[in-house]
Amino acid sequence: MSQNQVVDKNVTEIVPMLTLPAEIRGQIFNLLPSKDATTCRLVCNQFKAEVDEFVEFSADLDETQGNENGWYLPRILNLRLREVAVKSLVGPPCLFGHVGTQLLRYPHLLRRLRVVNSKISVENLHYLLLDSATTLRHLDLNLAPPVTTSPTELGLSPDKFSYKFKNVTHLSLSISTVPSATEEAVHFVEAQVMRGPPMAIQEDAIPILLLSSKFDCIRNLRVQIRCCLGFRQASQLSALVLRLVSKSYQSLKSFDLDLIQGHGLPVSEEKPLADSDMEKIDIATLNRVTALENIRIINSTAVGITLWQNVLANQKKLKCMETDILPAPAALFRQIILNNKLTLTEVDIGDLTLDIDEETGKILPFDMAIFANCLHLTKLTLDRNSLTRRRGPVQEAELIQLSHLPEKVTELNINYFLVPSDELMSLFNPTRGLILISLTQCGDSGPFGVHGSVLQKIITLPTIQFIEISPLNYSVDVTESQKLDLILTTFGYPKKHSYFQLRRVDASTPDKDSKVDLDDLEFQ
Amino acid sequence: MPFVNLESSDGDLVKVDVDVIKCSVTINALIEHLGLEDDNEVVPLQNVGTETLHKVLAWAKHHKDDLPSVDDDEDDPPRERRTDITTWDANFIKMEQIQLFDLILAANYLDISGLLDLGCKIVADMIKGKTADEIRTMFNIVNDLTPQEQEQIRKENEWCEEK
Repeated sequence: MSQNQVVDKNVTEIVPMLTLPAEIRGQIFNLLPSKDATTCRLVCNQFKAEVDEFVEFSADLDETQGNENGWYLPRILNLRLREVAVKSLVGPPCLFGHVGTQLLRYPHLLRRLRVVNSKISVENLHYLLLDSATTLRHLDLNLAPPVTTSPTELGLSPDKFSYKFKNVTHLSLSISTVPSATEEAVHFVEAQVMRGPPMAIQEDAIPILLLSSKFDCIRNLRVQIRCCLGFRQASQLSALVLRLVSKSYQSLKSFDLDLIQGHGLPVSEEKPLADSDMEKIDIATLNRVTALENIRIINSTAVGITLWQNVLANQKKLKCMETDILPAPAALFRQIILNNKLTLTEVDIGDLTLDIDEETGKILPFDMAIFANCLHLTKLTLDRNSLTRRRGPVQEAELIQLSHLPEKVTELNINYFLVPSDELMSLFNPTRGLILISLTQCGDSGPFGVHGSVLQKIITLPTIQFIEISPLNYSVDVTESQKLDLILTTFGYPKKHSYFQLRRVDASTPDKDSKVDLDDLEFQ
Repeated sequence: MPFVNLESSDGDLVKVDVDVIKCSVTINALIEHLGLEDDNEVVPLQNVGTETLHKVLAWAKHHKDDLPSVDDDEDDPPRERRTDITTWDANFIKMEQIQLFDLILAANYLDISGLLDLGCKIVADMIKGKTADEIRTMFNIVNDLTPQEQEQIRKENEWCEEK
């Protein structure tokens, strides 16, 4: 007999909502935004009891919020919290009405903790982490040098940080000394360490370096380091990240690193990590990291760069790759492209360093035929290294065989490569579904770059939505120059303009609705 | 293709492709337990009326080729974002409240997580943005909270009032 029928017999009016099992109402309440879930507490005693029993809230911890009835924080800390973003939490824990280390009434429910742009004392952070370490799945931490306190001053010795995050699958770690980003960051590092002359980060004072041993099942790792780095610090922080990567070799699918030098410092020389840091990295385990699907490495220091190059070279299942490392030798990227040809969908290579023929000293062009078997590739960005882009009196093609690009490519960005115009002519075939084309510094004289006929082909591509070209090649002949001028003036640019941009809002109905009917353009 | 006969609580028999109803953990278990090999055998469903059963089967048929839903705690989106409903489902679920709750109960009894999720999302959408009074009216619920209790709850709720 259903509960429905039971209710039917016992009460005069059916209340279907209340015939549901309590767990289902709990599931419904959990789908509501916090505001609506709390409103349900005002409906009836049963709703109130069930919201309090079942709903896991998402809330900001902000000790500055309250009204004439009191601060909100004590109430919030008593909620069943699933997700927490710390805004301001610097008062001593006892102020929040709890005994001992516990800040949250139900710490074991916490799945996401976000401490970014937060005011929080190291002590409170420590307690939050300690209480929720075993259940947290997402951890987002922004760490910076301290202004007033250090963990040791608070009596938090490294062994107090002995907890491990057994379930954290998403870790986002941001370590920064760039003022705009760090004013409110958690102050974890000795102040003088990252300012002034480079010196070793002291492990006993700084839990940052201890973090590397606390995670071993990360799937999604994102690390942002923006500091004025000396060699010692670049080495230590690189080792920290490499250890994080190798520790999670079985689970890691996505890795995203920004290791950015602070302003005004020269780019570091290519050097191996310090021996003391190398000792901490298990290279054999690091080499087992081969199944990353997404990798993004933006690294402006060349310290330990071969280790990062090896991580890249070891991958076999990459879908998306974005790199900006120095040096970025063409041979390395040819290997990566071949290794991952069956899976790659998006490729963005910054600062590519072209090979040089040892005998002649000539630059060898990058052969785009390497992408021919990347049948799933949809987005490609190639950006040439600024240091090797100086050109001599004799200009040679730097990017060739563009017509071998797979048909699925819809977005193409090419920057700082001399590209032969006839290669561009063969690439921009109307059967391709190109949506976005950006060509920067691909040549503006002789046989290179975008002349009138090339631009004509690009703007008449049926699927194109965005074009950006700089500069245009006016050097070819009068006919080509006239074509360029005609297109430019048609789209509202002055003649001889060296830059062209076109944005089409809806390419599904291209020529009919667009301002200019391209068939009307009279070439010749 | 194997079929199974489902008997609704109204006593009606409905012949169903096993492939269609495989989304029901309960029926799968019953089939396995009863070892039904004969097309004439009957699975009794004492908690599901004929009208509701037909609704469940319509949903199951439309979704029979869906990939099994992975309980993807990895990406674990914040809950507000978990409320995507396809157009087909939105049209399917347009029904009287009493039918909707019967469907949710059936989905719960038959252990069809996709349908249960859909029903819960719809009810959650009905609640969103409403006042307590409006919610009581919508669901025909009697307010059994004293004014003092309501005042206390309002104070407790203040932490998220300003959002």
